[in-house]
Amino acid sequence: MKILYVVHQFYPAHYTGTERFVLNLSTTIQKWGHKVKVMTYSFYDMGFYDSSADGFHSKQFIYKGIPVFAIQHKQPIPPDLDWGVENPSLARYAESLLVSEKPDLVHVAHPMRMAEFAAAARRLGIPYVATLTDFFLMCPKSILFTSKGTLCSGPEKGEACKQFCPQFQDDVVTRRLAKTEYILRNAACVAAPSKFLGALFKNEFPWLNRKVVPYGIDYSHIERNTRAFNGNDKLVILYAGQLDYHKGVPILIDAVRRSKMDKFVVKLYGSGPPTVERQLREMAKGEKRVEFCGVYKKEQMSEVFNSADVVVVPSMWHENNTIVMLEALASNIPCIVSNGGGMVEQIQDGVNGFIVRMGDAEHLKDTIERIVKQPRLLSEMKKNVNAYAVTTVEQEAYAYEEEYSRIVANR
Amino acid sequence: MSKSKTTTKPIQEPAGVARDAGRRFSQLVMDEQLMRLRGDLAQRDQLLEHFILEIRLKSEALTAKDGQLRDKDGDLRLKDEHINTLLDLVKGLEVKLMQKDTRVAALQSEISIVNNNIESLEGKLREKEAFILSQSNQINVMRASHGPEVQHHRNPIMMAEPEGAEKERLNHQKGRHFIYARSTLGYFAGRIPRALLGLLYALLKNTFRVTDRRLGRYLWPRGTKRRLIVDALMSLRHTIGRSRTSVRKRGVKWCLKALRRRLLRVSSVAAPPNIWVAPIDPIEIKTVAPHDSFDDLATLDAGISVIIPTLNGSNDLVKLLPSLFNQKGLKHLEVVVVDSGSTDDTVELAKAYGAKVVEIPPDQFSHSHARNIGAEHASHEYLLVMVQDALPPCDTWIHQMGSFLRRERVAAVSCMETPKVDADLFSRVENWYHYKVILELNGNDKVLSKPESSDPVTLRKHAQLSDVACLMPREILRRYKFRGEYAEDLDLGLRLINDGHRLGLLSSTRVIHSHKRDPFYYLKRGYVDKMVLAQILNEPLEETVVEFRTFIQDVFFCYQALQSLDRDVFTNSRLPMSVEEFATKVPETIQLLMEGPYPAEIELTEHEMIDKQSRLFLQTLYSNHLRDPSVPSYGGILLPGILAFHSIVYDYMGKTYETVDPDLVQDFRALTYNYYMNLIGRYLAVCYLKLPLEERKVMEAINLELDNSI
Repeated sequence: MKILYVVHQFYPAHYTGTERFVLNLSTTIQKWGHKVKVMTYSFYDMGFYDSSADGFHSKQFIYKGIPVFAIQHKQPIPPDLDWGVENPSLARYAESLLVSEKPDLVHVAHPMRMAEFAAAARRLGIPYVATLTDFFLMCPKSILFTSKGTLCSGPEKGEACKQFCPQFQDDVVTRRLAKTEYILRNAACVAAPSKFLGALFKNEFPWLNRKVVPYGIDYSHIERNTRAFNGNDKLVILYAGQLDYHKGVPILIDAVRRSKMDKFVVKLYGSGPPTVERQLREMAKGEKRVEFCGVYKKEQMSEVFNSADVVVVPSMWHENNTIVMLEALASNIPCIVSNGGGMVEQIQDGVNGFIVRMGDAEHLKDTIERIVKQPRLLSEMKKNVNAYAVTTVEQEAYAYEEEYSRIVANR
Repeated sequence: MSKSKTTTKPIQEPAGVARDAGRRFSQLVMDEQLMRLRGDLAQRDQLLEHFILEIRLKSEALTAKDGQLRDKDGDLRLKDEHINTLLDLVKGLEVKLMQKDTRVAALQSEISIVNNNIESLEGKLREKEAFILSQSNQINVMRASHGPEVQHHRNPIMMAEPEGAEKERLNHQKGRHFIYARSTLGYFAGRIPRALLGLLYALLKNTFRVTDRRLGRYLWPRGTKRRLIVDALMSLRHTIGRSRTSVRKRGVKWCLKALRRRLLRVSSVAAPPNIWVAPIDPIEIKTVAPHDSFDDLATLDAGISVIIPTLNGSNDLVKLLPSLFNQKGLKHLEVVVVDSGSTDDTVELAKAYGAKVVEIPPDQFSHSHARNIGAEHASHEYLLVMVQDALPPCDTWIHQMGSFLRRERVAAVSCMETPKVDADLFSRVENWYHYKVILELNGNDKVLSKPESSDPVTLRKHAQLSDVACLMPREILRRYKFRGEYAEDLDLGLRLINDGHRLGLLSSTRVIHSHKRDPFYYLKRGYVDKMVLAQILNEPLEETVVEFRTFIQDVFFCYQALQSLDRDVFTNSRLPMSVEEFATKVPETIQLLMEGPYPAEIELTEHEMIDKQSRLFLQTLYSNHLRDPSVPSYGGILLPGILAFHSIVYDYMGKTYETVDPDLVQDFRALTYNYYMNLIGRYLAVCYLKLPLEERKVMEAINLELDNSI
């Protein structure tokens, strides 16, 4: 089989959860004897691209054995590129690319900027699978977070958008939802990495049948964490991910500032939009208990995780099945997570981690101090973490490969 | 002569005469022409009339034909209608046929469901019968060894206070017991006083000549206590009389036994024998289940014991054990870990998960022994033999294997391996070639049995059993047992098919398993494979033409060739290139290299693709064994073997890659060196086996180094 993975951005420039999901899945599927290629939008300098057609620049390269086809609009870039589902300028190009690549199946991992590939696949009779990695198809902001600063439970056919996000015009929202419905209805399979995400989509589209396929972890880079926090050394709290507001990093810094204890340190790994990162550094200025550690490579993951006692994910939105949390569980590290999204499907408060109220810096501070004061709590939890079976990338790929085979056989 | 008046014509002048003549001539010509024209016209009229007549005739004919065609049209229309009617009929019949087919398929599926139900019920019945038989055997044994006090072997569950209907039933049983005990007492008790009474009565009768009735009514009237006593005594007398007869006929012992049986019958009904063991509660596992679409899975009515030999496997068990305990559709599951001296927390971890742990000393470990020991400690009727670094692909994996085993009634079932994400190119190609090309598994499942041909390749194909993951009934493993230090699964497969059993091999479900090994492992594996399989499969060695000294020459020629290949192709090629280009360039280079001279000297320096142990082995081989210097040109077997294997690799690469990039080239290099070492191991084994026993000491050191368990 030849499978084409469609994603809004990819390595080496972007390396967040969705990109990692695509890299893991495509690598495993390729190792099982199938041809793969990743079709991605990109933001490289114009000099990077070596060909152009139909109003797009493109370049093909190989990233860790995976063939990648990166495209970018020739100027001007559409203003709704990052939130629109329709991209008429891409329609013809997408179709021509699918005709030349001749995939047996297309897997849409994220439709931002690239949703036209799904429509083109439909027109050409190529089946496609859609994985819902976030709420982009329902929400122009992708994170179901209103302009009034509250969490949202879904567009409710556009009525909620009208009320809470008035910057998006009604007809835009309606057209967007109509296109979403078209994409989801015509998918041969719709998968979600958590029950929570699937349930929110089902709420909005009651006819939707989705399959839950959790993210898999690449255990080849995982080493079991055997650290035992005994209260004598500093508690090392690890945050790994995007340095951004919706990820709760300001809440974490605020919680550290509120605490008067000095027996812990928070290590922040990752990067974010330059303005936001600058603001966060400003917020943590002078705070010795917060360290900005930059970005780590996949090969360094075991070293980074083995230096931590607990991993924190203080997200301020309906965080999905975050890969960092799964990697922490796989490395035998308890997690502190906020009480939103799919994370509470994996974490039981007091059993294999802690659940804190979303956006509540005081509660987060209390939880950290509780761990510092009771070192045995963490070592007891580490025993319970073992009981949680984290899906491996092979098991995740097996579930998808079964779907691919079924879809291609029925074509 | 009469004179008449004559008119005298005017005398015309000659010109005028000519003119007149001309006019007359012209007139004559014109008359002639006119006449001719008239004649022509007449002719033409005639022709026209003739044509008109013809046309009339033809039009009449056309009209007639028109009519005929119209008639034919009508006929055709009728025939069309008839055909349409027939087509409708056929369609109707087709629909009915499809409906019947659907109905037949539905009935067939119902029949198969019923058959499955019958089979499962038969299976349950057989199990229950076997269990009852074993229980009764146990009871008999216990009775024989311990005496009557263990007869009352009550089910501990039943010892608890019964409630409701059960209580009533027991009370009724007790009541019966009491009544029977009372009547038995009466049986004996009534006899003795009756004898005395009879004596008294006889005395009274003879002395006072009183009839029975009068005496009875007078002495012990109805409704009185005296009457009750007398009746009891009378009954006892009869009982004694009957007992005397029974005792006379069958003896005292028999009577006592009969009495005991009667008493026991009441008590045994109240206390049924042990028929069930309390189920083992699995550890509560919170899982991230890959599948959520198996809500209607029918539970496999079987208990599964998973046997896993372990050694320092805690990193693997944290993935494997939760995956096992999370398996759906099973009635009971237990895990038996056979540990052979782990120094990490493998044993503690296994116990924390609720696995049964059996520890054996490291020097007693072999793949066979560990599995056999595990089988002895297993409780359930089916055994799943696994390795610690294998992983189920989904949460219905065991159910799928068990269903196949039951459905196809095979003695054992194993499944295809699928490689892990860090598998190198060599293990992926081996896996692909073995399962998809040789065994032809592409999503289909196979049932294997003894082939007609006994050639080693066919035998090996049909005796496929892999103890990476192999499910079989417990009695099969207990009867046959694994044996040997290597290829114990193939050996078991051969014995099973030789005894008429069938084996299952699945690719509809797979097990996740692969290894990343260094070249020295493949050297040893090649050697041991050849040694063991030559024995198990009786592989003939005569076809393989290998002589030790010549082969040593070949080893180092090939080594040098691979170094050149590294330099000329792998390091200096412009990448990326297409797979086709790569698949042309590499063999061309090797062919050229095969025409080169034998090296006078070889430098076995450190090489990134050769591990230290392999390098030391080659150095020893180089320095301790003479090479045959007389060979003029290359006629070895290693490079052709590598070329042949590369062609398989190009096939695989063509299906998976479009371009060859530097990472893939590195993988390909590693594959080449791994295969090179594997071939060396294989042919060294052939050299060793072909040597007469007395000459084998020249290779004894090699044999000792390589013929260890791997």
